[in-house]
Amino acid sequence: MFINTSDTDKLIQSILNMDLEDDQILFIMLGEKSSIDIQRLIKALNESQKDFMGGIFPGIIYDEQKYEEGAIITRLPSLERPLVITGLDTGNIQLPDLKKIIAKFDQKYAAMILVDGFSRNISGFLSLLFNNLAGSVNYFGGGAGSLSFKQQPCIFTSEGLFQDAAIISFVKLKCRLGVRHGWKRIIGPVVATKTDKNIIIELNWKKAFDVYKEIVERDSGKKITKDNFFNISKGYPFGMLKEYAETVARTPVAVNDAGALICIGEVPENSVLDILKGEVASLVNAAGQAADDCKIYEGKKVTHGFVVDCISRVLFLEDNFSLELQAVKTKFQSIEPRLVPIGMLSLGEISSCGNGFLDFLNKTIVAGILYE
Amino acid sequence: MNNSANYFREVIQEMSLLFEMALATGQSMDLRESCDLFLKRLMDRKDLVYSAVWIKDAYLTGKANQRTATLVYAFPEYLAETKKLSLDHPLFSSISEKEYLAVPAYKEEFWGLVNEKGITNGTFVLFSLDEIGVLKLFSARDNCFSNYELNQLRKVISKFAYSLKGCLSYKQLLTEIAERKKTEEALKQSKQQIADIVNFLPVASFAINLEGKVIAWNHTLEVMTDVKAKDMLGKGNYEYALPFFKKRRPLLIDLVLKPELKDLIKEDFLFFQRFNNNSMVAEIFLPDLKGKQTYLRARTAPLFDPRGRIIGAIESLRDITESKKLEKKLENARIELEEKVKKRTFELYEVNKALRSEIAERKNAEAALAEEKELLTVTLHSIADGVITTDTLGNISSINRMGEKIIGWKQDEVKDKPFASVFQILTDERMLKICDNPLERVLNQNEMTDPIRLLTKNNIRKIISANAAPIRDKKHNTVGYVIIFRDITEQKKVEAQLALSQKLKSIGELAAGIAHEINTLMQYIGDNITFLQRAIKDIVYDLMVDYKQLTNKPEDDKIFESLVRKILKKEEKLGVAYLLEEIPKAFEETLEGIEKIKKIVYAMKDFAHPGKKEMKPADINKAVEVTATISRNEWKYVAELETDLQPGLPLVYCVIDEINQVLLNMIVNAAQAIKEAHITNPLIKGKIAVTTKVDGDNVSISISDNGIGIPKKIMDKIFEPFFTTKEVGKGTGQGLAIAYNIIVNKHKGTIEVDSEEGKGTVFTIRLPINPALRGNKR
Ligand SMILES: Nc1ncnc2c1ncn2[C@@H]1O[C@H](COP(=O)(O)OP(=O)(O)OP(=O)(O)O)[C@@H](O)[C@H]1O
Ligand SMILES: [Mg+2]
Repeated sequence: MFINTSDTDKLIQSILNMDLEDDQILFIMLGEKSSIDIQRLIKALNESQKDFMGGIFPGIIYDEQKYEEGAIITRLPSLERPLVITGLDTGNIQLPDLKKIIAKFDQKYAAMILVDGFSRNISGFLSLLFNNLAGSVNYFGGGAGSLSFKQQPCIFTSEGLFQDAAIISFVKLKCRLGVRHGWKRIIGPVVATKTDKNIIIELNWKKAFDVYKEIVERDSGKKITKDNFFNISKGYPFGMLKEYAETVARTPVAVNDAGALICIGEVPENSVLDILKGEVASLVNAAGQAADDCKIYEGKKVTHGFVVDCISRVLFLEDNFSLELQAVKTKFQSIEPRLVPIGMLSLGEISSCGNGFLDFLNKTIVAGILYE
Repeated sequence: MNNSANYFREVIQEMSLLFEMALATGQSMDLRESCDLFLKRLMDRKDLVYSAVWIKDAYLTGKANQRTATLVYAFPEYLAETKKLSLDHPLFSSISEKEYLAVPAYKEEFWGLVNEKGITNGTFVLFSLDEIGVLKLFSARDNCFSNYELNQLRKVISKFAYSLKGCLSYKQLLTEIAERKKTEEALKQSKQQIADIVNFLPVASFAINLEGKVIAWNHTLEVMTDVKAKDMLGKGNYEYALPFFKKRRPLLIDLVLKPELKDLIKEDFLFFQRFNNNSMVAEIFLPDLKGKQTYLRARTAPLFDPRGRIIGAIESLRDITESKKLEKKLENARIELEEKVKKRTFELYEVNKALRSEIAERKNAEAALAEEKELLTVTLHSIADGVITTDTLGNISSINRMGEKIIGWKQDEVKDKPFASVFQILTDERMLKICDNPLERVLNQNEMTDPIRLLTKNNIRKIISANAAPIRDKKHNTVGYVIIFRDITEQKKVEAQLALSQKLKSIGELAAGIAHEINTLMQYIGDNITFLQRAIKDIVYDLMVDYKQLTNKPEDDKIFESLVRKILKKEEKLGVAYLLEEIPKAFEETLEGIEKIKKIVYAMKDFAHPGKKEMKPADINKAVEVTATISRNEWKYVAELETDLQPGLPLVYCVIDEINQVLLNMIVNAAQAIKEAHITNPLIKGKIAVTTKVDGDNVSISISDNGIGIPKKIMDKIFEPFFTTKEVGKGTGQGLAIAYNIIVNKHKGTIEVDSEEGKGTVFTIRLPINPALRGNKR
């Protein structure tokens, strides 16, 4: 359900009108421009004894449109109430005891994950989660937060509104995922010879910015400075090499005074990187491909068609972004004609593609079909 | 792009993998972190599902003989199921000869390698981590690693293996350091314990560690040296010698750790001894310890930690100056004496030379005698028994202190007096007869066990045990006698008391009499019952049958008459008239007997209540009856006992058992006095009368007898303990003494005696009805 309003009361009323089965929770995606009073929302939902999880995103997706305002609410059958994991700003993350939940796994369900997209240790968290659950679930989700790049509390459950945290819900539905970005290598390899989590300090033993600047300026023909950095860098992400799969993209979003590049997502030291370049066609194509990857056998009851689309793709594609959503919708509806894509524009994407471990993705579109 | 560019790109890509992996090794000294950094990177690049590092336990624990391996790292751990494997497991055996091995699922061996959850298809890749273990990788693909890739990885992984070895030895190092820290901590702790113990020692003590630093310096030593522990603890370089020698130098304590130092300091030891357990004792002289010349006795021993390793030494110091001084004095005296003896010997020698031998001999003998006598006196005075020595005639030559104390005469008073005049043995109290040859008496007494009644100078009776023997000289001539005696009055008192209390508890000596009493009654009852049994049988079973026929009224008069005749005949034969007269009497007597037994039994019960010693209102009349009943056997053969008890006598506040005891003794005394009288005049009809009556605030009980009476001259003695005129075994002389104690002292009553020799005696006891009231009135 898409509710195009910024009025908290109206939103609450609409939500309260939704009937929930015993095992269902509400999944709420809010556009960051909707000036919703989250605390009031939480209170009202708690009073009505509804379980829920949600996040505030730079934008939300409904059908083939993105919105910066409004809310998308959907019901998800759940194994447990959503779990909140805090402390993602530290290296010391404590997972709750998952044994009880693991005991309920009678097939491979979907784990819906929302994280504060600006937390410093998302990779650590995902690695820890994967260490504990491995391939027993399909991971699916993304980073919440504001496009202002200012970190603030942005994900919530009945327990409150959180920052530097993650929320997981184990959804009692099967799931098929497609993960693509479509960014193409223009040059490489460069080596991230010195990094600190999401900050690349050196490339090829030189100041990271100097190396990046030289390559990007040569390709784009534009001067790149601190001030116009993101305007240009959003078109030139890094790609971390991965065999058998697409590179994992990392977008540098800013340069600091020391000439280091600040990225979304962690870049391990000594990673061998490519520098990628975006083209409208390849990105739109990748989106369609991702949705197409979700193809399932006919005769299944499809309940949800999710899209987690990186906000950087919007920023890069600008007006062409609608093409990407159209491509997704077309593919989804070839699977299930009445399926309306819903989703969010994210700060980082989460998906277990293939068998390998869970990475925090960037500049990527994750499409997911949930079915019974 | 052209081919060469593609080729270039491919090579770069391959090399970049090596580059990344190579740089990912050795990033941490921590085993797990090392694995994490390296393997996650590898898994990421190669899209692996699972990686695990197995290390042989021998390398983890340092114990070479272990035949197992441990899973030290697995990612994701979710998949790992086994954490321990034998080295015989295919995981190790299959790769023992190789550097690496890829086993896809379609090969049989694949399944032997599975110890993870939910693995169905794919490939295991094993790399040997040198000799320390195995790296196990799993990919869901079955064609994941081509041979050249494996070859490529082999090198990086051998670097990885090296880095793991580094981690292991680092870990070992850490454990070793931790172990050493622990040992050091334990050492510190045991040192602390030692310090604590030393501080508690009452002897001045201090302890040093292996470096010769002071680790304990106790309070006593602080006092001895005027050096505080806080100024001494932790100091080394022989600082602890300063208070003693005013300079730094080894002390006895240092010999524990460095025996070779002995040569350096042995000069100072007045005395030195080393024991087997490596402890040592020495004595030293300090010219100036706190300004005084001091002798110290030092004892030192090694200190051990809990594992038995030497960790230092302890020394204790005792100030022996005083005993040294004494020793010195003694030594001086000895020397002086020796000098004197030498001189005297010389003089004697000179004298002897001048004297004739016989004179010299006599002199010697005299001296020897005198010496012996001297010795004897000393001995006699110090022994705990009384000792009197006499000459052959029995004149006293000496009496020791204890002897003086017992008989009450002083040595000066008795010297040369006849033994018999001093040592008065009472043979007959009644007559106040004194043994005229006590010496003979005690000489004949071969054992000291028989008690002798002794009258002291002050006419106090004492019970003693005594023995005597002749004194013989070397030629076996009797030169005198020695009499040894001991005061056993107290002992006898205690014995008597004991006997008495036993008497009270079990009605002791009365028991036999009572038993006899009851037995007599029982026999009497038995006789009566037998008579009754026979009589009733005759009458009921014999005559009744006939009488029955009579009541049936036979028609025939003849029959009737003959029946009557038969009955009359039978009646005569059985003595029915007599029986009818005697039967009621027999019944009466039987009942009487039973009544008497009942009385005795109740009396017994009432006479003594074991353990009850409390003052309670009690019926004195009942007490008299009870006691009379109980003691019946004591008097019934010699006297009649009459009681005249005032009816309605008020209850007396008393310990009734004790009153019973007094009455008993009085009645027994009375009976015994009558028995005595019977010796001279068997025709006297013995009579004991007990009367009770109210007498003002008192109840008076008088016990009178017509026995021998009490002579005037012993009248004032009868209440004395152990005064008795009765033969040994019959009387102990305690009865009246106890009676006095009970009536006068305890119950605040009085006892009066009125007696005339040959006529009889009346004892009158007065008991205040309430002794407490009497006390208040006065
Ligand atoms: N009723 C008496 N008639 C004559 N002499 C008596 C009478 N009562 C006591 N005595 C004299 O007083 C002495 C002391 O009596 P006491 O009862 O103290 O001692 P005991 O009768 O000799 O010995 P015990 O009572 O200890 O068996 C008696 O030995 C006796 O000489
Ligand atoms: Mg008596």
